[in-house]
Amino acid sequence: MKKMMALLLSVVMMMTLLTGCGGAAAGGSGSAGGTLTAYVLAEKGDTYSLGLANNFKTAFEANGGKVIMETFPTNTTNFSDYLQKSLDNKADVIFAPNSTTVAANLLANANDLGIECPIMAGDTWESSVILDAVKGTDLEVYCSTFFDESDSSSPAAKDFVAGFKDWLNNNSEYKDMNGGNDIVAAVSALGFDAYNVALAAIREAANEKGSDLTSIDIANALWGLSIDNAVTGKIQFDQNGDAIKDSAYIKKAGDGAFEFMKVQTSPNNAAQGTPADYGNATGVKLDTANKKIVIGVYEPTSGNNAAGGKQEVLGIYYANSLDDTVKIDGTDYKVELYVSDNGSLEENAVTAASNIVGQGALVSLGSYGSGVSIAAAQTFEDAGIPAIGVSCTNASVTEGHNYYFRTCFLDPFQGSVMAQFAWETVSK
Amino acid sequence: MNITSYLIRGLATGGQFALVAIGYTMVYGILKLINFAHGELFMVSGILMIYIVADLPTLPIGLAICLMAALTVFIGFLIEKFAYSPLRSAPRMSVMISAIGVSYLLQNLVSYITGGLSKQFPDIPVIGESVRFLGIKDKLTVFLSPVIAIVLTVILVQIINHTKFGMAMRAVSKDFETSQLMGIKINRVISITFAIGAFLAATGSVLYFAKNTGINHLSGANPGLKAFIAAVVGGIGSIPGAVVGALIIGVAESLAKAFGLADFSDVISFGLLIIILVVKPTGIFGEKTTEKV
Amino acid sequence: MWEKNKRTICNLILVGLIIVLLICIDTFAPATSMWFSVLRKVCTFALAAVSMNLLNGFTGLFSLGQAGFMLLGAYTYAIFTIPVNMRSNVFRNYGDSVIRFQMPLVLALILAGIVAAFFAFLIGLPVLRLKSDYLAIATLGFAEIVRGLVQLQSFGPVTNGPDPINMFTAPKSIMVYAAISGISILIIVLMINSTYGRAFKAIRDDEIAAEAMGINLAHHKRLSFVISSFFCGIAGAMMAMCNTSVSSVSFTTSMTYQILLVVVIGGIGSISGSIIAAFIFYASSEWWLKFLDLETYTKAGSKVPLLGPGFRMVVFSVLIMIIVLFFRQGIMGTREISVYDGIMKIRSVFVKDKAKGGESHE
Repeated sequence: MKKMMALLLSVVMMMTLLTGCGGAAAGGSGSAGGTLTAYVLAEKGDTYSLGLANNFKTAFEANGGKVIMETFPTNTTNFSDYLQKSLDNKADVIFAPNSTTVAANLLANANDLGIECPIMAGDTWESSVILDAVKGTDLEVYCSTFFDESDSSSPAAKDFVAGFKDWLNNNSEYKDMNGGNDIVAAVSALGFDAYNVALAAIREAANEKGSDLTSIDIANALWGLSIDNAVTGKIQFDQNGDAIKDSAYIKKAGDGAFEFMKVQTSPNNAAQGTPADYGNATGVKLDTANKKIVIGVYEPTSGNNAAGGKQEVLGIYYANSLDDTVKIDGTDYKVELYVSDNGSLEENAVTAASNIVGQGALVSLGSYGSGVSIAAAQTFEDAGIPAIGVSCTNASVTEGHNYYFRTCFLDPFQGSVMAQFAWETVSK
Repeated sequence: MNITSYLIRGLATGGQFALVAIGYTMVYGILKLINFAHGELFMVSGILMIYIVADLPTLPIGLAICLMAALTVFIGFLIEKFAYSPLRSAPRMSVMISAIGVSYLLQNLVSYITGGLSKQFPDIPVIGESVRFLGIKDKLTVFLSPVIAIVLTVILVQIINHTKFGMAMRAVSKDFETSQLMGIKINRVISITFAIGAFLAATGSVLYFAKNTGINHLSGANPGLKAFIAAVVGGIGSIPGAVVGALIIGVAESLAKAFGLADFSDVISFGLLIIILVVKPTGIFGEKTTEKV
Repeated sequence: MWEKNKRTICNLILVGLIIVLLICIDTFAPATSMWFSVLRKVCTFALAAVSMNLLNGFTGLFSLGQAGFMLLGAYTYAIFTIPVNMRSNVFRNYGDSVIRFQMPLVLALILAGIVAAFFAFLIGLPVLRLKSDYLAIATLGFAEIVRGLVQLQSFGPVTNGPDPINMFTAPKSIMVYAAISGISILIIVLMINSTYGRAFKAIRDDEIAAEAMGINLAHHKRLSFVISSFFCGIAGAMMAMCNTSVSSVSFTTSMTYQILLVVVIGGIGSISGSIIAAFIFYASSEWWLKFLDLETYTKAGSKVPLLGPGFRMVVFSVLIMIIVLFFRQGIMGTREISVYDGIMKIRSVFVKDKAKGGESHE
């Protein structure tokens, strides 16, 4: 008897679930003729994913499109029901800016369901994980990114691509870290640039202060820096500490490689920033006893963002292998890297950053992933060492954090670029 | 809206979770232990499959699955021998903590071996084929999972009800000490229970990962937790209960997404868990027990 | 009586020494030292572990909802201590925060505890009737629900939705952490030594006998649950302070498991054990064992085998399994640290005829 009651109860609950929510669902089906519909899928609690998804939504709606946005909980592995939703609503495009771990499952599920509309994402998807998932399917996958390896217009980029490929091919361990191939990821190029920016700032500070230089002098030097021949284009920081960027590369995942589609530009009129007020912060002093300079590498080498994090580290390693000494007051200082894994988790951020601070680092590079970067910002600030974000695109990373810089573009820009591209692609 | 597609995919997830939930429920029935490491065992069997196929490319896929199932059963057996059997006389809380420790260890071990990267599950013939059924296009595993889960459950229930070993198992779960006095080899019964649970988890992992092909060290956490909720909702200790519970959880989550409640999908299963616990703590099929003084 | 006073005095001296040591570290350690981040974390999790111990070790209620209560505490604290002029910046994606004032640190801390305690009271009404494992599952489910709800975009103006909250008051001095943690633990200890504490222990040892002796089971269980959650909320607020940002994704079940492991290593039912274990656990996992994660090369240039990303956690979990399996009592068992007894024990080794002095353990 009791069993029956309990069964009955659960049936009633299911029914209320069905009827109670039917009303909410009724309004959301079918794309009306004329307007375009985008289905946006973001991960709960993932700063990067939500930030970019919201920016895309705003821009797509501004064009007059309709956006259905949903979120999924962390560690979800089955996306069929979400994708079915996009089919039900006859979405013209799917925008899913998520980690590559999510993408692997999402794309496999999309293929199972026979999704035909284009699937788009942000910079994280430029990864061999995506190429593997797309191989042998009819999926149409696009992503925006910071750099294109086949771009031959800049000699610096050409040299970098050739050199980096050589370096990977001569070093099986690094090739494994890159996903087993020699494709040059945009984040590797950004990592390379970030390292060189850091070194340029250290040299600049050394010119002024000699061996008395501290990490604060390096932070001050960063504001005035202007590097014209960087791999990913000219680097100058605006008042927020963001590199002034005006173009994004859009690529399509093809068979075993990314095909370059187009450069999407939008003018960026920001002016170079002036040094922030660092008050009487003392910062970290140059290690004159051991004649070395430690640069922290704050990256996820495990967790959901490990694939991208490792590629960023590779770019930094490669840059270090080319240039690892700084002359200060006539003495050579060796530049050493200290890699600290944040595990892609925000709760590890402070510890991982403290480890870098504990090593006496003068500058820190990274991280891949915005959430972990935001979570570490205060630790770097307290220690008085500048941090150069490599590919953390969320606006909050540098805002209000005088010690955080970054070498990539921002989500509001990336989101509107992708919304524009999506609009152009599907309205054809 | 195409409700059938959500129902079918919900049943599929439910069927896959059911195979994991049986492992939870059987171990609880006998040892009164929530085997927190069971979800990790599910994930480990998926990882094993990847490494077997990668390292022995000439092995036919059928044999690879058998080898994987055998290894999973062996690991399940080892876990019981090393982490649970030394604590047989310890308080229940200690065993539960040991289970948490094992799941921590398995996760970290896999994270170390895979470098924390997500790996692709190999293509499985037949169940990995794409088919169209009732107007829904998906892999065959989606349509087969609930059927396979129910068939395996029926076989299992028959074994438990009609064989000598099954009788021993029922006796042990009714009264641990008396059955020991009656000459039942307790340790053997427990080992076999763990082996059955591990085997079903391995089967479930093939069905599940054939569809959701990316696996990393955290892939077991979510299915493990959901299967565990299913076992509790169905009435922990009851095998048919675990299956019914898993199907309910699977369908409820899918329908939630269908009706625009995707943001709440995990809240719904946990909410269901708490409601069941409060209204009928022994679950839908659970038996009422009285506490002895 | 004199015997008891001697013990108290000796323990007070020990506490005094620890405080002096902390002050020394706080003032003299270089700013880049790992001591700071580790000790902040130790203070936080020592309190979390002690509050879990109050419930699991002293009242015998197996609850796994710690992460949920810490989340509530952390969010409450963070939301109320953001400076007013920073609010629109933090809540950028949701217009602005609905709360337009800033609370002083101490008030916000207490409020964090009260919010956690309030939810504990609500959830405790139905859930505390459940027996051991079922209670563990229900509280675990509750923590997951809280996490799921806090992340909702519709709560954006209050909780900043799924986005992290930062820019709130986060003291840097470890003395602040030590003070909050110390005072809270002191209150818990006083509580345990009162009549309530004895009732809790009676419930732990035998529920039915305790009820027969006239202890109101429901009342005492709820009391223990609410108090434990109150301090869990404060520990959550401390976690917010030492992480300088709060994000709901951090408060997972695995965090609860971590706290549980600290309690087990220290000894279920020992306050000083939990504190010592918190220190050992976090100092080794985040600092002393960190070298295991780095690929190291010998002088000859060959790579040291096994070392690499993730190896630290493998070694660490193996160590935990060894403790769980072979040292089930943990470091302290159910005993408490007592300097006086320790001295007497050492003395008894040297002075044979006074050997009895060392056997005054509980």
